[in-house]
Amino acid sequence: MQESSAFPCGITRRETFTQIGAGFAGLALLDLISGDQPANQLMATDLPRPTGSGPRGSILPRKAAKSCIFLTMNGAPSQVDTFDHKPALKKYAGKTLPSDKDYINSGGRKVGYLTPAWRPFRPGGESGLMISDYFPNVRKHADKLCVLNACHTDSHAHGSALVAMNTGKTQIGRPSLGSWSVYGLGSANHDLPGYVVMLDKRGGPISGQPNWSNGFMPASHTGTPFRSQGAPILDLSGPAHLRGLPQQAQLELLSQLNNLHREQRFDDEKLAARIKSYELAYRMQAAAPEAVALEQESETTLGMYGVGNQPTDEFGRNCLIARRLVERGVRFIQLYSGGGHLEETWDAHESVEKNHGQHAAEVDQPIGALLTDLEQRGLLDETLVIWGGEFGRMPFSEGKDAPGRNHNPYGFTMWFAGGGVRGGFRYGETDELGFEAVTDRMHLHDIHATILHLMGLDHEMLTYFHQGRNESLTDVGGRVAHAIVS
Amino acid sequence: MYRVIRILLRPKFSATLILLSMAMVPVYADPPSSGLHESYSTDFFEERIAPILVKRCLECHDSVTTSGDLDLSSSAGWQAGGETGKTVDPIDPADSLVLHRIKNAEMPPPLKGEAQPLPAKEAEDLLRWIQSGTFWPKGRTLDRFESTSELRAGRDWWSLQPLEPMPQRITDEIGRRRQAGEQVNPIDLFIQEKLKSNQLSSAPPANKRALIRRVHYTLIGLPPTQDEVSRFLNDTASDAWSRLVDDLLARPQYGERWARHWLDVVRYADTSGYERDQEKPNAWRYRDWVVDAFNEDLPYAQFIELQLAGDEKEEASESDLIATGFLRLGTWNDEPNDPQDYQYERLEDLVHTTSSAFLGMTVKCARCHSHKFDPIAQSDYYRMASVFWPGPIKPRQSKWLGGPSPEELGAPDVLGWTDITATPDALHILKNGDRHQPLEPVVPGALSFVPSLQVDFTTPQSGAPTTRRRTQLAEWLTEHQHPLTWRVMANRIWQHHFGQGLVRSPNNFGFLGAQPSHRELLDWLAAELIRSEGRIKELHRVILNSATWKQAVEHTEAATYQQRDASNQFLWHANRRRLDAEAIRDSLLAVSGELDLKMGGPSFHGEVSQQALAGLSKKSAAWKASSPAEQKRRSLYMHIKRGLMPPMMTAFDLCEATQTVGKRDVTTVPTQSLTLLNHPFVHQRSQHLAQTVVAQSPQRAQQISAIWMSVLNRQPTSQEFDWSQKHVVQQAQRFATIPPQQDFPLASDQSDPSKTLTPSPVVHFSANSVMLDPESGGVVGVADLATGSHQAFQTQTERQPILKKRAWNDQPVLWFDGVDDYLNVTGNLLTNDQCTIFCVVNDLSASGHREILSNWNSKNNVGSSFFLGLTSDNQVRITDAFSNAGQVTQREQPFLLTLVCSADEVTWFQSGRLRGRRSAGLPNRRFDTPWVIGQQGNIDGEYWKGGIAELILYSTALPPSRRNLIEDQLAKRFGLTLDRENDPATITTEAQALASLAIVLMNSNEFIYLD
Repeated sequence: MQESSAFPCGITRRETFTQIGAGFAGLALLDLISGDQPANQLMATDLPRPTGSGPRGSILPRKAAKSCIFLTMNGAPSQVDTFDHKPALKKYAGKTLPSDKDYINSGGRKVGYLTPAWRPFRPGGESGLMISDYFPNVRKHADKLCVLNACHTDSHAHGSALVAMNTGKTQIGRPSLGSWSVYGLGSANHDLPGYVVMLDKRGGPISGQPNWSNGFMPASHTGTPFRSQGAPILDLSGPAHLRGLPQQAQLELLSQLNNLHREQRFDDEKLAARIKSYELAYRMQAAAPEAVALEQESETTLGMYGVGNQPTDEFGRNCLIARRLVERGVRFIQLYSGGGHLEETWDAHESVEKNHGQHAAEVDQPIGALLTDLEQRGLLDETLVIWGGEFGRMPFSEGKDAPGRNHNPYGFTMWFAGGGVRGGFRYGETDELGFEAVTDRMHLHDIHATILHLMGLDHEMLTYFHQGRNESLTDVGGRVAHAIVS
Repeated sequence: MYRVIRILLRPKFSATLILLSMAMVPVYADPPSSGLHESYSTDFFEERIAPILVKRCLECHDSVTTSGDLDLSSSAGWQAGGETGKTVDPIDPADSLVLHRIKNAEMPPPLKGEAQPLPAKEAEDLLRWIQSGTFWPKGRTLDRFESTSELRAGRDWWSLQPLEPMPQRITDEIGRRRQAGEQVNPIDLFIQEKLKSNQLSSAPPANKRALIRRVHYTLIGLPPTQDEVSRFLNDTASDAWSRLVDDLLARPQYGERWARHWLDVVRYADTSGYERDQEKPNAWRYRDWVVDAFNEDLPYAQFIELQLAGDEKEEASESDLIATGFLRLGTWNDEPNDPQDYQYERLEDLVHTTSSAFLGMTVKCARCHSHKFDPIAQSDYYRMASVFWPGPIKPRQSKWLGGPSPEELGAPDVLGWTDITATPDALHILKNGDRHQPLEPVVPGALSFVPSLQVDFTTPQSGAPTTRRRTQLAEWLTEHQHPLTWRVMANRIWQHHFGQGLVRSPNNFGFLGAQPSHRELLDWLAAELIRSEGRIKELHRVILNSATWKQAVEHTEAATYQQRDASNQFLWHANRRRLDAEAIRDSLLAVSGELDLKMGGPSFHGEVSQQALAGLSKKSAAWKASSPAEQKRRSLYMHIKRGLMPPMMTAFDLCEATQTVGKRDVTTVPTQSLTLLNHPFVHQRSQHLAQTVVAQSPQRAQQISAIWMSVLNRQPTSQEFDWSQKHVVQQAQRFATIPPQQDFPLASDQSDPSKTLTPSPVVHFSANSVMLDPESGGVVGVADLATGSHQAFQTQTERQPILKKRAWNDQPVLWFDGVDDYLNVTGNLLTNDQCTIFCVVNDLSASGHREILSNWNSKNNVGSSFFLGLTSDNQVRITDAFSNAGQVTQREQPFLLTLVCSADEVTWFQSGRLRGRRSAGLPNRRFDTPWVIGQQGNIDGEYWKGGIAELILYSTALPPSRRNLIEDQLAKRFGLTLDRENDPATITTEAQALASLAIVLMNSNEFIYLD
């Protein structure tokens, strides 16, 4: 191989990139640097220059979503009780799953009998999509929803399945969907992180941080946990006596010293970038609390989201903050419903009615409000809203007259809204029992490929060179479900 | 603009790209009119034809992968043809199937719908060759790995060739210079030569202050002390430098620093990851083993052998077993989706880590198919994987965490590895890596890319405890003739001296890795490593004594040179390097004078904020910070939990611990600035430094100088001094205007507590003053020592706490059984939520709510009561409004709990240490309900289990000085140690202003970047 080959080895280029700073407010640094001669030179001589200046892996000029809100129903909601209407379950109630259906009995739990939905389904909107009474508010938006009934995934265990839903693989250590989005699209707001995660107060998801990890990408692509009250991000402010003027004085002195230091040294973009990063940090100290300042919202809006009322207050706040973050250019916002373990999440082993009754009541009104609000503000077309868990649940109970259901990775439902998807549309089917995906199946990789597509990114082109391989979110799989794109 | 790069040009199957990027001419020129005889020759075949076949055809059509039943790697294969017929038409060669396929752009196959026509020259050569009779040298078999093309590396790839001896011209030059009496370091000759040929020249030597900082960080990861700096600056002896280097290499901190680099490579962490994220017990002993290995300068060959196969040594010591922890450090999932599949994931992890660490090769890429870019056959992957196959790979009991049982390992307290069987099943090659599609079994052995070293591993005699496969792998790796092992390690060492390796992809010496910038130099360094029997300290000395390493960052020609070599691959100056996460944290501790250099032992758990803990599914229960003293140890000893990487460290690019990392990213992002400006850890260090400085010198000018000397190893210039002084004066003025009640008292207040107005307590219950039931011995009543207007009592015998008379520091304690013991309190204790409460308690409950003091009432103030207690494992709960208020540590031991509630802030302290703060008062409490001690109001539940020795309540938020005074008294009585280091109350405004300056310096580029 020649010294200067058209084949970029990637390593030194990435090095340059990360030295300069990227991701979380990184664009500003890049803007700063790109005006500097040495960096330009580096790019001109050291890199293959593609034509155009679109984002990585771009499939422009298709109109694409600018932001994504992923409403993660941690613990796995039951499809046959929510968005996958299976009237046949009434007919077969009390019978066992046909013996030719092969599955892993997750956790070796009791295997019971086919059980119909715990709440009735009714048609919603002009499309008449069947949605159960767990989601009366979401049902009002049926014509906005694109319901994917034939999802399936690679693991029946929460820990690895949720990691897979977030990163594409059941093994921890890979970049998450949000990291890939920010990597592909950058952030449109320099004062806020590009990828925000809001956890459930009851706790984080199992496996923790690897769910919003940057994996092998630079740390600047990591998801930033955001709190809905108080200082939203870590270390946003110091001790009380240094807040305000005293910290401003510190930054002034720092800037004087750093500039003097830099003047005595030859032009080095690293030093400049770090000086700049303090200006950005200072701006973030104002921008981040402002993003969660719900007192700026009207009473009507707060009421619509259920803020101030129980059980909707927490998720309502998070949904409302998600909308505010979208308005401020944040690319990827992930909201968790359910945290901690078992019944604190959607993991309805004990009782679907009790568990989903509680969790759906917490999220239904806020989600409905979010869809209304995004639409009213003209943001829905450019915001992809995703709803779903890490897998689904079995159509049968966990024992005779037992009201809970076990894990089911073979067939489950997610839905998309906004962001250019076909509304009032159902894509894919499970068998008549809602057990496994049969037509227009969407594997995890297909779901990811489609999400990236809707965000204007080609999942095969959006790669990151790591340890000898061009890694991608969908690995060697992934197929875009073009049928759901409007 | 930069953002577009590589990505658009690098789809998954990069091979396309190359073809696209080459100049393309429509295939098929007219048949050549001449030269037929020339094309019927061995030369023509080897020079023109073989490369085309190897590059374009054999990926699919060789003896291993006979797509379409066609093998184009041998003469026989060409004659036999494939499914669709004869390859070559013997009658009319120009009409041959193979040529039609090429002409129609069917072969090479289109990629993503796009034709991949052969370049005209190649098509022409093929035509000539076929027309002239398809000459094939006798007995010749082609092999897709035999030679490097622009698409892939072959066995002739540079890194697979033997090390080249030092070139004659360099040897001659050394001789010439030595004769002339010059000192000469071969490194400089190699570097100078390349600089010259690129019209570049070296930077001048760095100044001594820059050098001592640089070498300290490079070798021990810590800044020099003021003494060390001045000693070196004043040492004018000619061997001052080499003595300094020797001194640092001999320090135990050297091993700590260099162990950390290796821990990145081996993906070190203290937990398993995934849902339960279990502790890996005794992982730290492996970490300590690595530290010792560097400090003892363990020969590199032994370093490899012990990590791969320490257990197979004759009479393996415990230390040898600890070394095999290398094989235990990966993530481990106790609940994989399919435990059978998971075995193969684990094998991949082991193959990948081993091959990346020691070979710098991505062998894992050959798991599903032969490597696309390097000469690694799929069988090679499985030959290497079968080395680990006899180990604890298969699904077994979870409690062994994927390792051998203690009996199998033969050591109870070691996280190690050994074979579970000496006669394992054969490992099969798996088609597409799928275990449901087994192909032929493999013989364990060395990789095939260096034919001269290739070997099949032998089977030991029957009755042997292990297969000795790992030992044989180590033997192969450590051959002196091995082309990769020594180069890869020499490159790692170079990288940590210069910020960049000579090969900039330290874990990838293959086709997609970087080319060496100075191959001859790399070979020489590798040879030196072998010559010194793998002693790494020798290599440090050679590098550090070179002029190349001692160059300055600054260069007068920088502006011009940056145009020519912006990434400084030719080393015309020193790279300016940012301190890594560990060096930053360790430096903060070092400059504040707090660093604890205690070596080894279990990892300490760093302080993690509540906010960061929210990311854990089990929240606080899953994390207990270690004692304040432990927090002052080096970052190397920080517990790494895979589900919760320490945020302060990851902000500065501490790498994810799931896969091997040869080189960390270096990013610059605003979150780093926020961390260094606002993180409590930084404030604690700055305050400690300020207080030390104040204690040592009363003069402000001296104090400012001392802060500069401590943080940056130098005096400020007069301008810097003026700025600093102005800052300190103004900050002190600002801090003085903050009401002392909220933050910290005036100095006068501290020095003389009697000057403050002393409020009286509302109530003071003490185990010193109780009435006992003469029959049961239970506590009937407790007197109020403050005003006597309240009383605590219990009339029901079975609910009475008992008195332990000489319990804590020989002081009496009221003992509550956690079942039903509690005390009623007469009268109302508070009228509003402003108060200060001191109590000396301990807590023996397992978990759950339990209260010390409460006025909760089921009828009147559910949700708006006032109570103080604990919940879950160790969370303090201060009313429902502040229910996860922070954690207590070592709660089984007696401690002093202080709560201060003001109108706009709630803070609480454990034995003097600030543990929780809410930046608002408690909202809307109701105080008209009865009070109890030891349970939750009238709930008949949430009982306290443990002792309560003192309970003092003030109906005002006491100023810190007053609080400290009372705490001091209580601590003395109960023999408690107070720890107020993070309490702003104990620091004067003067010191606080100096601390502010220290923070600025700790944030400065001069502190973070090495010249």
